[in-house]
Amino acid sequence: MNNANGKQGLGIIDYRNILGAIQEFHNKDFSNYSFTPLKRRFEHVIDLHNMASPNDLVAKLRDDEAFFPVFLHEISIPETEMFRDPNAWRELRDGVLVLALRDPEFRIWLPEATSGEELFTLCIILEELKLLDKAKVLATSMSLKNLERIQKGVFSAKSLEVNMANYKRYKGNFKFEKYYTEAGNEIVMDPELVKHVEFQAHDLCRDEPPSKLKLVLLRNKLIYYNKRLEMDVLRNVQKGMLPGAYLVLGIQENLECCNADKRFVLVNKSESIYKKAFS
Amino acid sequence: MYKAVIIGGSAGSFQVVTKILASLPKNFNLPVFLCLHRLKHVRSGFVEALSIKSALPIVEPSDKDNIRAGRVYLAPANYHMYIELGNVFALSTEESVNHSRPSIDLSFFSAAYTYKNKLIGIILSGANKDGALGLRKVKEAGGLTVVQDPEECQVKTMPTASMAATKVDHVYSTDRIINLLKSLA
Repeated sequence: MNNANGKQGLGIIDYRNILGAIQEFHNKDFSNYSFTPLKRRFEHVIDLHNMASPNDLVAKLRDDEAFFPVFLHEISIPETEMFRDPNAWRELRDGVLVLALRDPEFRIWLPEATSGEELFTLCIILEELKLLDKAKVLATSMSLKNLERIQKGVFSAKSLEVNMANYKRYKGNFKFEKYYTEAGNEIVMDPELVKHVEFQAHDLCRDEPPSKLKLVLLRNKLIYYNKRLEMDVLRNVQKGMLPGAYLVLGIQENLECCNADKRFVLVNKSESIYKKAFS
Repeated sequence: MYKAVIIGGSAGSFQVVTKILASLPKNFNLPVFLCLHRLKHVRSGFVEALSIKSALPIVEPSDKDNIRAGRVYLAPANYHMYIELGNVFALSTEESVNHSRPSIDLSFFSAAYTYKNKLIGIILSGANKDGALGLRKVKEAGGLTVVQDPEECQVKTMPTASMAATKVDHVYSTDRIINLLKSLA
């Protein structure tokens, strides 16, 4: 995946066959995902398993029951960095998370958590606000393997440099070193950070949302859906949010294509923070 | 007959891009995609710097923005930029490719897939091989491939790598690249 190896990419017919196999044998519909990233993800899985052709992937999806959970994990697109866009996190802290100081039921949801960078960032901020055991954080994913991985809190040591630089730009209270231990080529995040987090299997595209949410962290997730699916997902997410609850998107995402009914009010344009309307 | 122009560049390309943009007329009626290597954590300043002398509006697209002719689109920091069927952008935070996000290869792949033989791909000065496979895809899809003359480049690794990866149609100086683009307007 790290090199664009220049192999003949997946053709549209192969792509559709794979979508068809997922639908037929596993009852999941990926047809409204963004084409290019998902196509690259399928190519990535084919590479990982040294499959000779896309048909092998179709066959494995059909014949190997144990493969599908692995597949869901492998097509997940990992999050990139802790404290990615430090300014967005700072605005989130000062404009939104501080509200939890006076709110005993501040429920925060991270849907489709894939690799944990976003969750650990959130938990570090909560810790520094002394809210870690007070705020109710729920992390969900359609892949249980993603959640298992996140709970272990293990990251490549290569990620350290950028994470530390981001934390510095964010202007955290301490040194980033406080939050991890090094183990060879890996770092292990302090398990206390996610001790109170609830982890749950949940398919954002299909399942009902959790209820009474005050904040939904949905940064760089909608980019993998087409407009139609994005609209469906937002309509669904919104049902779980209390009026006045916050929705945070990635900095290059906005609701322009799917907020015709003004369910969401823009609070911070440069950091893409929205609020659910009161009526 | 061409429907879009995509330009990739890295070290040493900023001044070239600026010069190209300064030369494009206001009525230039194709979209121009720019995928330039840039610092991941610096969000602002680049568009502003490129805009100073450009007659065309320059924007960093948000995910799912519509593609419009006569605009210049700069791949935003720390995202890959795809050009999707249906005339829209898709952004992605997938792993870096060639140590780059945005990756020139990835933008070129998707543009070649979408525009086929209606695309002009241009690789400018740069210090790694990102873009070489992308330009090859443009060629394979029937598009027109151009590299900045390595003799003129501040850093010639990128055009040289492209020339090794595919038989490019033109090896042009900045001025000839400009003439080519102006002839399309």
